[in-house]
Amino acid sequence: MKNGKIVKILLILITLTLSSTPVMAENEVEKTGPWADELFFKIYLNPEAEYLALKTGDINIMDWELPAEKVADALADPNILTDSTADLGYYLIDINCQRWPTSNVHFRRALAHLVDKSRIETDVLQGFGYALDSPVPVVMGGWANPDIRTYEYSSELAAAELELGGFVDTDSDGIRNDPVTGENMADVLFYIRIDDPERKQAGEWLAQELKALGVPIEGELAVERSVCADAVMDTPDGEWNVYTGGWGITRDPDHLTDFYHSKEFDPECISGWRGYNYPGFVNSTFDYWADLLKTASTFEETKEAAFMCQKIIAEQVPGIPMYGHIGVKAYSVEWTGVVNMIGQGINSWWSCLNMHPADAVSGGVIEYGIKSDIETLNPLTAEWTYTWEVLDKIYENPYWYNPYDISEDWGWLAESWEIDDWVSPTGVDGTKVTFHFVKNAKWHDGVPFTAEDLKFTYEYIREYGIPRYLPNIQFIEDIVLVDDYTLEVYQNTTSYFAFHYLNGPPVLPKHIWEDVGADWQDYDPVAEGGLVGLGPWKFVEYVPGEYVHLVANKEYFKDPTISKQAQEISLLEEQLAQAGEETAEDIATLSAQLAELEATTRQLLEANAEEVDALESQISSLEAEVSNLEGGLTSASNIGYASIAIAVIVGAVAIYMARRET
Amino acid sequence: MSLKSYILKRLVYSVVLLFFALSLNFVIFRMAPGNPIQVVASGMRLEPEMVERLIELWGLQEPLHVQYIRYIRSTLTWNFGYSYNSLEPVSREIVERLPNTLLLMGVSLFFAIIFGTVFGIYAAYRRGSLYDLTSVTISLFSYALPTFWMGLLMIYVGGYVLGLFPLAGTMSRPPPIDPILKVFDLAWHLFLPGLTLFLFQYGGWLLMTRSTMLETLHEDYITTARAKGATERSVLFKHAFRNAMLPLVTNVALQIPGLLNGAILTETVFSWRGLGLYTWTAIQFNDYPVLQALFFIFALVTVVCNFLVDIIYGYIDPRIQY
Repeated sequence: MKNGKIVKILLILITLTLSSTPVMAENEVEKTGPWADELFFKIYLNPEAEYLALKTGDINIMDWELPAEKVADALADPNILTDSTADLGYYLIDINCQRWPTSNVHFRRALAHLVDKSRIETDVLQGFGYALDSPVPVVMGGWANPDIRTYEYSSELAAAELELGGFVDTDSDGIRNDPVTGENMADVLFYIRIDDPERKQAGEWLAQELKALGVPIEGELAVERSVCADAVMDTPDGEWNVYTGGWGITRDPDHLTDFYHSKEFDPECISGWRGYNYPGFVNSTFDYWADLLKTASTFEETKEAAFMCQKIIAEQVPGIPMYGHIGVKAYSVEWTGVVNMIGQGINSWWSCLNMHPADAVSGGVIEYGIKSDIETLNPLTAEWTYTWEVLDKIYENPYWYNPYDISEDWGWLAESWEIDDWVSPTGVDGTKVTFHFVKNAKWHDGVPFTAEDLKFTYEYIREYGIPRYLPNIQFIEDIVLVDDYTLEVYQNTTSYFAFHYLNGPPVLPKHIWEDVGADWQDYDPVAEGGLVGLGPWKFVEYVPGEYVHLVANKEYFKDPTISKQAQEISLLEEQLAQAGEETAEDIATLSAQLAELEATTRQLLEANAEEVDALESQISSLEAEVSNLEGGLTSASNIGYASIAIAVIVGAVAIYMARRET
Repeated sequence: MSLKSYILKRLVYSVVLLFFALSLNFVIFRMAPGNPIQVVASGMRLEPEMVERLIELWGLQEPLHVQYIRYIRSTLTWNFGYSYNSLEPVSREIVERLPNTLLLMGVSLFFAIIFGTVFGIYAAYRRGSLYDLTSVTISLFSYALPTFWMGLLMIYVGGYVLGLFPLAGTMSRPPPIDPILKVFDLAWHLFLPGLTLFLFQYGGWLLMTRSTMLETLHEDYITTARAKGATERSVLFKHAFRNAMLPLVTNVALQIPGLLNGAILTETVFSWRGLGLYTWTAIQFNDYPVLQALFFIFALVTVVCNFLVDIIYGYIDPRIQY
């Protein structure tokens, strides 16, 4: 790999980490909502157009993961924020344990040594994924066993494993010989998915590595999903050795039992396919722990079973976990309250509950881009992920879990519960779950919710055999309605996860669905006006191919009014405090100014006093001078008067003398 | 042969052709990989009883010939079954989407014919001029560009850079309430996909008009018309174009099935909810009932268009002998 590429990826990831700017404190979730007024799901079947819509402000949040080149663009856009999360799922090399030579454990281990996960991580995933050694991804937290056998990428170690298995090139013709027949090995049959470029690349690399070790490959069959399903999963002959598989999983690690327990392997395809354990892994020790994983009633026991299952899988290699995905999603900088939920990312249920414009406490219209039409809004027939992006905002489940710690359950519609041991009348150990529901929940049509609705939901699913939810209710033996807000559910399993199974189906309004009865498959809730849930958002309109319009359920049992008021009060307090601080600051400044003025005045006064004295003395002297002058003036005037008198007298004498001469 | 027997003959031929297409449609989907149960139940844990119930419900346990007869009967009665994906009746979904496709195709075809013909005639008339060279170059360029690429370019420039047109859909979200504004809103949304599909057809149409006009303009009767002192306008439109119209009229009908292919990509790029997008979604999900229905409709459209061309030909070209 080129250094430039590594630097580019690192830069992207570093910038990504820095750019993630959750407005709420990290891992903070507001357990009330919805905070916005309306929610528009805008359908963009072209992901490019959806991304451009985010950039132009037509939408506030988008639901698909940005490819690498878009991440760089989004990071450069000041109006867009990004956040990343690991998917709940993983990709692996499935190995057929029933077909030679992959039925040989040394051969399987050799394959494990040939998967270059670090190269996949950097060259294929380009930083948007992480290498895996266990089928329990790290996002599942405590369930992942860190102490399992790992396989270093090394063709030498792979060759050594092949030799341990007896696959040696005895005739030195460049092809290893089969330890059973002594002949050159038969071709190893690869099925590589071409519909997924990442898996295609990983599978092709593995095939090349194996070839280089002298193992013949029958082509590198590059096929798409349905062909793979047909050849790998749906036929009893099991004519394949290696398949590039992948799974989406739930928050519980019980998929280990589903994928590798011998009872999940159906070699004759009686159920229509080879079962979840289509690699045909049969191991009695694993079965023991896998059974315990599904039946242990305590967390410690369950965790031990999960750890042992992972240990055995790592030793026996019925599959080679390769990588998990990290998705980067984007939203508008003008919105806050976005919750980056583990396994889903920012376009989570919690985001729709918490989001509101960044410059307001609440309100606004969330414009949420989805990249697919939703097909049907019947919660019993809807399978499509994007349909559920809408439906889960309308319907409600008994409880929720912490979006930042998916092992922690949170009371919701059922505000609390008790889980007790129970023994069925037939002597089977089981679990009794007692739900205590909130008393203020109302259906969107105003009818109050009671525990009877959940009882009805479970019974309806069982009565009509609704495939999607049958696994959830398969262990329910009995349901007892204690009162309007208390329900006891008796399950004939002790599994730690049994409680989680009960949370699968959305709660249905009895007053609507009891009239639907057996027509559940043809029922159109939109046309019949029956799209009534308990959730935070109420259905308004669906225009196929265009949008789905929901409005905030103002009577939601987790109504945010109090929180809104509290937030408004706290905002006001903040403002008041700020104002108070400002006033205090002003007063202090004024006081300081006043003091300064006083001091200046005092100084001035002191300084002026001397001047005044000087002035006074000056004035006195001036006055004296004036007085003197006045005195002088008086003397002068007297002299003047005397002079005038003399002049008059002289004049009179002169006139007299002249008259006398004449 | 009279016109009546000619039409009858073409009708029989069309029905046979349609029946053949119908049968092929049945065989292809039975040979396709994956089984319907797995498609519907992917990711679900189905009990054997449930699998059997679904097999029974869909008649998959019956012998192939029984399934075939039922398929022919259902198709001819416009009953295409339920979509594996949405579990909705396929015929209803087709009817819902058809108007959007007809609008998109109709508008783009109309303008492509008008502009392509007018500019094609003029290019032929001024053969070898700068105008001719420019027209031919532009037409070749637009004809050769992949539709999806052109669509993406339109979205980027018209929708994002200039911000003049919407990025997706057939209406604003939410749409205006006033009916007149609604019409304007639809036209606004139609502009970019319509322009894309227009450009997809325009180039071909211009080149074909130019080519047929050039052929006609070299005919003796054109020289005669000019010798008689007919005006250039009269020569061009009355004498040349009337005769050049024959292959053009044929082409209108023959372009419609091809347009459906263009619509698949254009509708997908512009999130335009029509039959093209429906085809793309059905391919994505191995939705066999939908694909079977759409392939039948495409075959039907092709056969009907061919039939119409044959009839129109008979009417507009007096030289045709039945």
